[in-house]
Amino acid sequence: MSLSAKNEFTYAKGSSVEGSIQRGKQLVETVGCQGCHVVGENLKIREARGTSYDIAPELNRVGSKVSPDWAYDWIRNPRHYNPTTKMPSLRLTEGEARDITAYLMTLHDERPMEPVTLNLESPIAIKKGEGLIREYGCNGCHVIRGMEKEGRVSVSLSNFGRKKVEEMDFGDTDVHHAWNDWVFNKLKNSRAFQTERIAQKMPVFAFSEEEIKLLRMFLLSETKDEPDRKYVQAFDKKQQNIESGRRLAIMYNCQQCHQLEKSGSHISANIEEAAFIPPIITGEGKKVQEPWLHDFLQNPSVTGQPNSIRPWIPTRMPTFNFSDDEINKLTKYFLGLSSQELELRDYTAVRPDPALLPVGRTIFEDFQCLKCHPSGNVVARPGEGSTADLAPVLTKARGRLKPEWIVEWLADPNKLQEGTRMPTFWPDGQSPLPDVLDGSAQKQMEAVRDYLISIGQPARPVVSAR
Amino acid sequence: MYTRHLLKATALCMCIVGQSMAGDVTGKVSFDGAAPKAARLKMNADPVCMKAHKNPVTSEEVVVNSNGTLKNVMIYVKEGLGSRKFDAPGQKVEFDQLGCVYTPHVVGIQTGQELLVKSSDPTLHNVHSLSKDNPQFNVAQPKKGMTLTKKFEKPETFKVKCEVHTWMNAWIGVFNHPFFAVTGGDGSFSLKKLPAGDYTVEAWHEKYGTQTMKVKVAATGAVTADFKFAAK
Repeated sequence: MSLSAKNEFTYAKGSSVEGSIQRGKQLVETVGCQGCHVVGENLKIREARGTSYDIAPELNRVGSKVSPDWAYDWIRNPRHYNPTTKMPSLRLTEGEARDITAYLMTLHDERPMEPVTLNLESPIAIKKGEGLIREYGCNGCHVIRGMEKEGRVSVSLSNFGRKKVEEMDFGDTDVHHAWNDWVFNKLKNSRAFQTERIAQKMPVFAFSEEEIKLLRMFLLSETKDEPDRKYVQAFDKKQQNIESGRRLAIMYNCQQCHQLEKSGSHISANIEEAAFIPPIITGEGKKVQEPWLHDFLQNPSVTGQPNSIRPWIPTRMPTFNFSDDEINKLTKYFLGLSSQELELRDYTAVRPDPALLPVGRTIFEDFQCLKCHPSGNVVARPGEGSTADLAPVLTKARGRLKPEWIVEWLADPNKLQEGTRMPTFWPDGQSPLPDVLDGSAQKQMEAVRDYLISIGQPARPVVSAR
Repeated sequence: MYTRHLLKATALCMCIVGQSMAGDVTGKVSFDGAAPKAARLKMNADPVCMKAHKNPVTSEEVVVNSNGTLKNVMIYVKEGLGSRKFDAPGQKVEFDQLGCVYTPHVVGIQTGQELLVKSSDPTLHNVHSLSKDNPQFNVAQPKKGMTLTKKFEKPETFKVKCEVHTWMNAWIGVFNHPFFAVTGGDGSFSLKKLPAGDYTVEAWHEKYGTQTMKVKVAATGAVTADFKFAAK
C-alpha cells in the first residue's frame, strides 16, 4: 500500500540523458499519454470526458516539478515508485523513455514566482508544519510516514442523508435552511459557511453543477436505514460478477479509451482516423477465448508493436499489472455482459472439418479477404499514405476468437459491433454463391471459419500455470 | 365526423386540382470564384482500380463545369408540399461501382423507390451507408456483376463509402416526393410539374452546404430559380 521506511525508493542517476525532444513529443502525442494527461493546448479529450476534473495530472509544467531521472524511472515503470498507482506501463523502451523525458523536461512553469527563504532546519517550523498537516488531514489521501495510523479529520458521512437541518451550520449566509441547499452550497464552495470564528478545511473541489447534484443524490442515500426488502435489488451470481468487474473497469478507466457498455471512448476525440480508435469491448466475452483474454490482460501487446493484431496502430494498450484476481473478475464481467459463464474449454481441440476446409479457402480467396486483412507483419507506413484501410491480421484468429463467434460475426458484423467497417458478405442470410455447399450461407460461413482456424497460430492450451 | 370527412374531401379535391395546375421550376447553379484544384485519387492500393483508368482520376467533391456552373448540386423542394403523398416510381435508381468510383456521385431517390447497387468492377467493394434515420447497411460485393436492392423509408441525405477503397464516396438524397434533381455537366436542373403553390427550394452541395430560395409556382408556366455557390 505504501512506501515503507524499510524499502527505500532509489532510482538510477543520469539514466535520462540524451533523449530526443522531437521524438519524445511525437511519442507523447501517439502512444496514448494524452488519453489521460493534458499536454499542450490540446483539450479535446478533457472536453469529451466532460468532467470538472482530469483523471491524471496536466503535464504542462511538469519540467519544473520533477527531476529528469525521476521522470524517466516513473514512466518506465510507475509501480516502482508507487506499487498501487493507477498509472499503467506503456512498455516503453529505454530509448523511448529517454525521449519522452527529454520532451517533458521542456515543459516549464513560466509563471513568475516570488523567491521564498525557507529554514528547513528550524525545529519550530517543523513542529508547526506537522501540526498543520494533521489539522488539515493531508494523510486522508496521502501516505505520510509516521501518520499511517492517523484517523480522518472530518465527520463520518455514513448517516449524512439523515442529518437534520438544525445540526447544519449555515454561518452568516442567507442560504435557505434546507438539507438540499446546505449540501449544494457546501459542494459548490466548501468554505461557504465559514465565519470569523469557525474555520473550514474541506478542500475546494470546483465541481460542476451536474456533478454537485449527482454527489448530493449519493449523499442523500447515505443513511443507516434498512430499506424495505422489496426495494432492494437482489443480485444473482451473474449480476454480482458484472458489478464487481464493472467497478474494476471504472477504477482503471477502461472507458477513457474503449467504448464499454455504450459509454466512453473519450480518446477518440483526439484520433482523426476512425480505424485507429481503440476497439469497442462490450462484446469481448462472447468474442475472445478466455485463455487469450487472460494472457492479454496480463501482458497486452496488441497495438503499436510487431506481432500484434493491428501493429500499425500507434496507440498502445497499456500494461496495468492486473492481479490474477482482477483478471478473473474482468473475465467474468465480460462473459456476464455476453450472458456467458466461465467454463474451461479446450480451444486447441477445435479442428477444421477436412471437407469444409478447401471450400472455405476458395470462398476466402473469392471474397478477397486479404484486400483488407493483411497477411504478414504490417507496420505503420509513413509517407506511403494511411493504414486506415487495414483490418486485423487474421493469423491471430485461431488462438484468439471463439469459433462460434466467427460465424456470428460473418453473418452480420454490424449487429455485433455497430458502425464496423467490416461488411456482410451474406446479406440477410442469403449467399451470393448459389453453387457452393448447396448455397447454404451457414455452411459457407462455417467453411470460412474452418479455413481461418487452419491458418492461424494455435490456441493456447487451457491447462496452464495460472 | 362530418367535418373530418368534409376536410378530407376538400384536401382530395385540392390535390386533384393541384395536379392539373402545375409548373416547372428550372434554373442553374453557378460557381463564383476560382475552381479549387481537385485532389488526385491515389488508387495504388488496388491494381484492379489502377488498371481501370488510362488517365488520372480526380475527386468529385467539387466539380466546376466549363460554363462556370457547379456539378453535383442536389436541388429539391424542402417545404410547401404539405401532407401530399406521392407513390414511389416503379423504375429503379441505378448506382454503380465502376473503375472504383461511384457513378453517379450524387443521386436522389424517392422513399420506397428501389436503389439498384451494382458492381462493374472485378474487385472487392463494400457499400457502407452512413445514414442516420434509415437503417445503415454495409454489404460486400466481391464479384463483378453483383447487385443489391435497397429501399429507404425516411427522407435524409447521407454519405456512402467503400472501406476497401478509402477514396470512394458518394451521396444519396432520399425524398418523400418526386421534386428533386442533381446538376450535371451544364449545371442546370428542373423540378417538373410542381403543383401551383409557394415553396422553399433548397440547393445542397457536399462541400458548400445548403442555400434556400422561396419560389411561387403559378397555375401555368415556368419559374426560374438560379443558385450561386462561392469558392471558400
